[in-house]
Amino acid sequence: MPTRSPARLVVALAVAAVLAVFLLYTAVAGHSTPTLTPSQVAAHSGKLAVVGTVVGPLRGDSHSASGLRFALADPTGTSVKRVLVAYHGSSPPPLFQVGRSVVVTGTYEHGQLAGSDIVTKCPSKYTSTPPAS
Amino acid sequence: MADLGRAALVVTLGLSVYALVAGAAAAHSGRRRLADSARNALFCAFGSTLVAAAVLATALLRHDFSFAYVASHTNRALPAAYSLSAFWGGQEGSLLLWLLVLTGYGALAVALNRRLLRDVIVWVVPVLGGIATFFAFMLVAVSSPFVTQAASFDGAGLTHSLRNPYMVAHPPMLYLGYVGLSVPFAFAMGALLSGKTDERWIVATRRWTLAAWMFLGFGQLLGAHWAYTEIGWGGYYAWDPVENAALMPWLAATAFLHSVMIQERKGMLKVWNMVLVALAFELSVFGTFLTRSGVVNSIHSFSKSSLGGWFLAFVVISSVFSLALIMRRLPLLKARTKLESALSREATFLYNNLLLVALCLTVLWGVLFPIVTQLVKGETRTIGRPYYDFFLRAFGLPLLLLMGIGPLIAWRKTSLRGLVRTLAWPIATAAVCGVVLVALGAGSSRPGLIAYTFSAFVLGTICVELVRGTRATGSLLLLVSRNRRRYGGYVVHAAIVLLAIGIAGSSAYSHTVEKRLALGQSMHVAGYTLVNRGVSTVNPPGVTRTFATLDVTGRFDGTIRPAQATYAIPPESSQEVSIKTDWLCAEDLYVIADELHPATGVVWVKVLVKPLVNLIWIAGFSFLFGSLIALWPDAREQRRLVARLVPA
Amino acid sequence: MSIVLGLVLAAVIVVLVAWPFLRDPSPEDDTIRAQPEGSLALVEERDRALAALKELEFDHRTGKIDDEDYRALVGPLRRDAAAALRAIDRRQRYGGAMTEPELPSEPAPPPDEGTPPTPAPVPEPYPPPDEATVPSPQE
Repeated sequence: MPTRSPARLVVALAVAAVLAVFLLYTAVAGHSTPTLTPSQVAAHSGKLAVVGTVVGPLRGDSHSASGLRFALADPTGTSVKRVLVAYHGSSPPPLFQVGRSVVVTGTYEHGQLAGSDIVTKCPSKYTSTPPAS
Repeated sequence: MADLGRAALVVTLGLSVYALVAGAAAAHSGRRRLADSARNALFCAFGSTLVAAAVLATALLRHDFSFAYVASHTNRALPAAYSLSAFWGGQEGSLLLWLLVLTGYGALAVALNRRLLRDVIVWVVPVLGGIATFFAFMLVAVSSPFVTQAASFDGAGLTHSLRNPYMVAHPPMLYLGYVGLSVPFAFAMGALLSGKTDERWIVATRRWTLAAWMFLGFGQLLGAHWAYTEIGWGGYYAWDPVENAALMPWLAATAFLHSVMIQERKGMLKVWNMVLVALAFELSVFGTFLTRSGVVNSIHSFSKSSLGGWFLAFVVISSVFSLALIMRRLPLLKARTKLESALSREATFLYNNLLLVALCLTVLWGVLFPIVTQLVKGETRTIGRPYYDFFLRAFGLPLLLLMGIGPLIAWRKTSLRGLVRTLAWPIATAAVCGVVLVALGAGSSRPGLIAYTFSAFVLGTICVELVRGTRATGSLLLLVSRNRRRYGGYVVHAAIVLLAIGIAGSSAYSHTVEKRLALGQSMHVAGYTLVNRGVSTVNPPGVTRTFATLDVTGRFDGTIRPAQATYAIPPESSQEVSIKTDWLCAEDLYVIADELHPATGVVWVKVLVKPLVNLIWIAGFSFLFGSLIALWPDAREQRRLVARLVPA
Repeated sequence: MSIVLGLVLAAVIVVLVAWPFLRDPSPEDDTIRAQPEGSLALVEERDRALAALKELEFDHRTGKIDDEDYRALVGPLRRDAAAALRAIDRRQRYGGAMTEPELPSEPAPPPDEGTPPTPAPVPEPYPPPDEATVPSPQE
């Protein structure tokens, strides 16, 4: 029986290999998307995602040239900042409506978000029921 | 009635606290009657939770709208099955389900093991009592399902996306999985606290862990199928935080299932197994925290609720407790033997563990990343799909390969020569498959091709094992029934292979085309031709359904009607996709009606052709079948365990 | 109605939780009877050793382990199994006189170089512990 167990060496090499893969990826390819509220968007540009509540009116059509146009308001309601969105692509998911909380991903340029993807949230079923007064 | 429910939960809380405090005192000072009393309290806690659950279930079935919970999740028109499934459709009810399963599992595990593992059980009782105390406290003080109100005439009703059979099956199955992981965790902590850190606790909880893992895995596949057929965005897994919340503990539990086999045979990896089981348990509770706290954006999510803080506190405290306990008992966790060879089954299990845990931690990092960036940079950044896809391939493909090589390697050590000889046939099969696949055009995706060839290899090795085993024992049935764990495991491995093939086919080789079709216009996608024959609307009670009529020719011949439905109560719309399956090649023609114009007959469609996707669902059944084989009670094993109790 | 039900259930619970004290108000011994450690550990050791041997034989039969590896591995495993059986036998003869049987270190038997590839069956007074029952090979 070998006096020095190969287990430690095996583990050390494996851990090193995993870390290497991870670092390689994050250095070369990994980029994450900033996910901001409408009040935080102003300072940014380029590819990002905006979380907010849909503000009507909904104009246009996602398949047309000018896209589906709406605005996003701050989800907490503490700020009056709005972000204008022009969304192109497949129709938004069925749960998309005015007043819903959504995440729109796209490119933010010239004060407008050219949206390419919308994710809606299920209507809130997991809030605590407020105690009956 | 609500009073009875509330009282029952208060009683559960009291009993859990008693089980925790009295149980710990009894175990520490070695007092028998107090220990038995604490154990009885745990049994009674299940009873009182059952009463509370019965109250809620009855209120739901009777449409008792004086219960605020019933009013907000059901309405009079709702069929009984969905009214009952509303039990776990909301926060408070789902917590009650968690507590019910926890106390039920806990009581059963303690009852079954109280003679065989006496020294460990006296400590398992307070650990389970502690976990139950937390959930009971949440239900009594923070999030009660028994809040009453002036009875309204009718309720708000269940969201339409939840009105399907999946809602009846998917959450309870997941909970049986999540909560099931508490049992091996409690026994592990019990083993540490009592100082009896040999393999007994592992043997006792082996089937519990396997059952929990089976439920968690199958529950996730149910969820994937739900997303695929009902939600209708064209996929089955979005790497959403709530989906990952179930995946992470499942990966940790998979690693644990393998590494305990090493500890059982060689008394090694004791510390690693303790850490793994604690990780699996903490991840299952952490997953619940993620789902309820609103801390990350998710398609399943739920706005911020005060519960998040409590859950986080519980996870932190229990993690610190288990880590401190492990470190304190480190001297008792010394390995009995060492790893003898890098080419042994112990070693392959070690590699498998490292890959699984690496994948689990990668997913965890992806989930935590937005929270971390928010704390560090003040700005939330989300990691997208490419990250997960990359690491799924980086860790998943080697895991697939290992699944083939591992079973062919014996315990302790195997000669390289013998191994290569055995591998010759599966490798040859895989190579031939690879060449054939490239000829068929699978070379378009390199990871897909690799996944296919690795899968062929693994299936080849499973065949080799079955053939060799049958030759040695004479009959396949006898072979499997004498070695349930091993061959049940092979069936599960085959399921994972099918899953890999299904995922590779439906992602790497799928075709997607989005097009606007005027009336009479046609489109071609990968062997199918679709012609738009018009858009119409129907109005059955409560819903307006607009659908497009499309004639399809090619590998499928017929008419499909993808639709969008708008409901009145509660007001929502949903996507009703049309899926046509070609069972011969397990392929799906998946058509989404994106935008419909009844007046002009114009429809925007998204057509996806997903090869081999149905293997994923077939894999689910194979997975269940294999797990059940491995779980099946063994009469000889039982007799032997009982015989041990007879004093020598 | 629910009040009555609640009270009944509460009474049942109180009785159940207090039952160990009610049943045995003044016991001679209130300590938790520890597991008879010695014999259980020995039996587990024996079962583990026999299971490992069974598995080795099965793997050899199915060709997973070749003759050379088998010869190298079977010796130590047989020694472990024999030691475990001896320890149990000793315990049965001398009762609980020893908590952990002290085995005198045996001189290691010579390496099985002359052993033919066909494995001799292991003496089995006890029921086979696990996995496949391997009939005596007649190669």
